[in-house]
Amino acid sequence: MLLSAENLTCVRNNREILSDISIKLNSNQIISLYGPNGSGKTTLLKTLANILPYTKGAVLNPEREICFLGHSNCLKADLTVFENLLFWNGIYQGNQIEIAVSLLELKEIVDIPIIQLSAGQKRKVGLARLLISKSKLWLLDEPYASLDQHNFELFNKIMKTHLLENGGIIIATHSPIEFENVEVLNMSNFKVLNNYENDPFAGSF
Amino acid sequence: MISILKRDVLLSIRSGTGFGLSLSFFLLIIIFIPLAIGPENTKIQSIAPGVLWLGALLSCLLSLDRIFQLDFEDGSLEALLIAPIPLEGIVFAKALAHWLTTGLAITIIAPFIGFLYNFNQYTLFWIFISLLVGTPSLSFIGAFGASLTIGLKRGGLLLPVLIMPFFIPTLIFGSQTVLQAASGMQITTSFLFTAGISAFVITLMPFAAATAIKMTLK
Repeated sequence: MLLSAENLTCVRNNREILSDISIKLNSNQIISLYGPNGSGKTTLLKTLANILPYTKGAVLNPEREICFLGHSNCLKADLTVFENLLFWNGIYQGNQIEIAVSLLELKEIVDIPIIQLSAGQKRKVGLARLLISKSKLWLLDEPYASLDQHNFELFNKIMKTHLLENGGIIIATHSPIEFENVEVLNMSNFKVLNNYENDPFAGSF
Repeated sequence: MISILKRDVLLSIRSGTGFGLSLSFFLLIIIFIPLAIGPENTKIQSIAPGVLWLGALLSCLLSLDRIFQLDFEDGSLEALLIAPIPLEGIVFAKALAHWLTTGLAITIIAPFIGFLYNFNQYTLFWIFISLLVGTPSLSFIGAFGASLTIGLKRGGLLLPVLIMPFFIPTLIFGSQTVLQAASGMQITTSFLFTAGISAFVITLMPFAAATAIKMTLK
């Protein structure tokens, strides 16, 4: 098992967003979070990644190294692609830069500063962090954003390889996922609807 | 940690906001003040140690808010929070990088500027040493202040107001060291205080700042 959460209540800015979520992820498994905008997909991913706190329940995470990829790419505009990758390589103490560059087809842009890249190219460099981190558990928040069809398929291939290597993925996306055995978690089941319990002004007006 | 240090130094040199900005600001203060107060040697020499230290402190302030703000904006800070290195180490490396590009640069150039003020060699030596030992505390206190103002839209103004009081001891003892060296007095007490403050702040502030960052991001 890579990650499990039981009866989790997620909060953001002291507001309860989601309640009673239970989720279990094994290796070779991918879970897709499904729900409209504002249904708490990002909040759940950040809670599982231990970035946001939770008030109830528990997260069990025997695989301590998690790689969370959010909306932003974590890249420095003034540095080149290679310098950015070198930085994350140092943080994760890996040696995967060349593999990441060849898998994501970044070879042609490796010496170009991030500021000169298009949104899709930046996203690809952002995705490279996943490969560099060597984490078994990937938490992905809209990873396909600004990718074209070719890169969409390229990244799907990378995710499939990751799953075959005993990795696990939790992904929040609006694009259809064409994987076998993908488990879909419908976020609207967990949404906290009337959330005025903690509001001291509730009912005063 | 070394990769953070390398990246921050590289960024500050390349974007031209850390290194060049604080150095030129320091030079401007130091060169313009004698022009403003007139050419009397005794008057200038009596205020020079204070001016040098004040210049160092103000130029250090200029780039403080960038220590964490940029990483917060591009999402790196969140990724670093769950990366396999302790947040305290990250804060330490970032504060050290800030010192290398501001405090250390000023320290190296200050003795040469001291020539303009007609100081003797003994005083120039103590200008160098007191800045070398004292300016790290500015960067580390500043990193703590910067960690408190992460995510605030107009944190740039709040930050100096917030941390200026904590700079006062360093400023007093640092400039006292130079002042006493210039007048040939015993400098031990004020110098040891400067060094003590730095040692205290360097050990403590990474922990305080790491806690503040965790609280802000959550």
